[in-house]
Amino acid sequence: MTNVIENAGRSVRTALAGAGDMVVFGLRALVSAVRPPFELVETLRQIQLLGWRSLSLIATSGLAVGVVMSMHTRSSLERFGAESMIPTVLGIAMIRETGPLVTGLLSSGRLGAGIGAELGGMRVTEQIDALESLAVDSFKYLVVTRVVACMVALPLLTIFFNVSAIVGGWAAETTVSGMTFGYYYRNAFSNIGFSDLIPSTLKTVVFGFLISSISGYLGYNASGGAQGVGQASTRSVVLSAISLIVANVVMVKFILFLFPS
Amino acid sequence: MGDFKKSLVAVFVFGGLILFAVGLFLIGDRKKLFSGSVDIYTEWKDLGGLQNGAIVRVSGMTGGEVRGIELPPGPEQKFRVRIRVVEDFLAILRSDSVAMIQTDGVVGNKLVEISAGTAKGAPLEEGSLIDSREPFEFADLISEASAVLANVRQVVDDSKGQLQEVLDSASTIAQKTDDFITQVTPDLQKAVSSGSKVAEDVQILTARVRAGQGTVGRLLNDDALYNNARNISADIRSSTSGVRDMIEEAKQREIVKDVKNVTAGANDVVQRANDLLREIQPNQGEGSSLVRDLRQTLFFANEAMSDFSESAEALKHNWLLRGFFRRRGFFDLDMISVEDYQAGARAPGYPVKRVWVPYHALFAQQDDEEALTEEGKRRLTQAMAELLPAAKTNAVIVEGYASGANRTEQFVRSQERAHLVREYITRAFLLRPNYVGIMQMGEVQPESGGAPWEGVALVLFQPQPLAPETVNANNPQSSSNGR
Repeated sequence: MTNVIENAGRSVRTALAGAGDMVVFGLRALVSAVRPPFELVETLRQIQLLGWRSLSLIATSGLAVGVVMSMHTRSSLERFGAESMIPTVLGIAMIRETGPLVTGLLSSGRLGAGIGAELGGMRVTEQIDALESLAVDSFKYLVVTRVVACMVALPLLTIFFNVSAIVGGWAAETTVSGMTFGYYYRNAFSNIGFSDLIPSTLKTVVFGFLISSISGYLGYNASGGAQGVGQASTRSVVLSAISLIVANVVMVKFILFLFPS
Repeated sequence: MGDFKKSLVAVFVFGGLILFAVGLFLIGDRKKLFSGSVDIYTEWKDLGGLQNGAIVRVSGMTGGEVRGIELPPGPEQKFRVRIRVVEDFLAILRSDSVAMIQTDGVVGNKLVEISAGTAKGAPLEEGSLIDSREPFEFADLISEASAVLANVRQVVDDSKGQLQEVLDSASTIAQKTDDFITQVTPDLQKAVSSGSKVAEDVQILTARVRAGQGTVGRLLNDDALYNNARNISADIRSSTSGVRDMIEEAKQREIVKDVKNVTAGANDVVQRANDLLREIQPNQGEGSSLVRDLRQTLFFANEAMSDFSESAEALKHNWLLRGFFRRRGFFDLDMISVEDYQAGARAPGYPVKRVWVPYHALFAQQDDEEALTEEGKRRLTQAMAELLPAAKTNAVIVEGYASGANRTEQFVRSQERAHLVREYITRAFLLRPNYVGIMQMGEVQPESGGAPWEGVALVLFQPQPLAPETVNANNPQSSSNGR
């Protein structure tokens, strides 16, 4: 019994220590991001790798989500004869919450796994040690660039996701009712304000930071060979997704506090 | 990193930013952020859930948004709402525009709807205050509807008793109407039947007259009869002249010759008169005569007039006409019996004025019959002077008094006296015959004793009270005028 308690206490202490290291790791990345030298080329390369290459996944997902949500919304609203409100409902749902959250979750899988696996592989194969031996700041070169790239890419991916979802919703609606795209997108934005679009889009910057910093931490500190790389990749996806969801709740509350209307 | 990859990064970044900018533009355009705008104010006691940023529609078109809501400083004050509207809408907004809080659809957000003003209203400018109408809530409607239903139920409950009374009254009226129709139907049928009979009689009389039958018909159509009568008249005139001449000549010359001439003329006259009488007197055999025709015509006329009189009397008592006769005070003076008259059936309660004219001042025996004397006419004139002009418009009863050996003689004599007086005053004073009645009172003893009353009394029933000389019509002994 004593051993169990001691083991639990040791695990909690280890988890808290790891969380603290993770926070320090993330704050260090943010601080390093605003300090020269700026690895601009590597950052752009990471944006291309993490953002552009995720665009197909995000756009396709957005299109599918838009179609599915339009169909579900229609089946509900047509009971009240309110089919004309489908664009409005879909616009609000996508821009306020669904778009940022789904984009963040998809990115946590796509980017988190990639970053964790890549950095973990570099760690266990001593590539990072090699960079260090060449007097290259491996943290700034490998971690900060990815954090910045994710923080830039996530909002852009969210925008693409929202646009894809609206287009997918219109495609589903126009096949049923023949609604024009002009009427659809004007209605989609009819109840959207700046307080809906800007905070919900910008909160994905936080999502990008969380995904990149968590997965970067786990990969950058990976150990134990290929198994350690796999663990780092898996834990990156799980932890970044959990932290993203929890952070989303906190940020939604914070946004509603700032913009109550 | 090659240029292609850099281009992809640029496309990715700038594409995302452009889409984001488009979203911002759409929102800003909907909020009219890129148009000139003015802020106006309105006030509500109850906002009904209206919030900052709510859409503002002007005559149904989106034209601004709610920019601020100020809490009322006190319980009696209202919320002051600042509304930003696009400047272009000032062309239709006026000081008499009214702001209303409405719901976008059934379950949509609250919005502000501003109606366009009228040409009489002043243009709005920055900071203007416009009127508002309190928001409509379904809960209020339901509450009011509940109150209305309660009132309706109360009214229905109250009306049940009154409605039952109305139905009972209607049922009673219908029953009375039915009884009345049942009661009147025989009278109507009799009147119709009598009218039809009268019409038939009149038609028969007219046809006979046109055909030259009867005395009237012959007088109208038979030229020979007319010429005969004319010749007789001429002959009589001639004979009279001859007699006069004969007398003159007898005084101067021989009479015999003239007597012969006169005798011949008289014979001729007699002959012509005999011819005329033969035509007038009834024939012994078949065919018709003037007398028979005249008698038959008079019989038909009498029967027709009797029927007509019955019909008229029935009509008088009909509900359509009897009101007039009741207001007049009598239906037919000739139909009142002496007993009813003495019992007060004639105008009960009406004041009367009676003028007594004794027999010796009225009548004289002439050929075994009583006839009005000149003195009697003068006394009747004096008596009527006291009754006129009321006698022109009111009923006058001529009471006849006469003694006799028996009641029949008393009846007949008193009736004849009253009839003579009635005939005279009706003609002399142009009274309406149906307003002058006779009442054969027979033999009446005065209260003071002595001989029975002999003569007539003129009785006037007046619609208003009279002077002290007024007495009851049923008590002729107490009359005080003209005696």
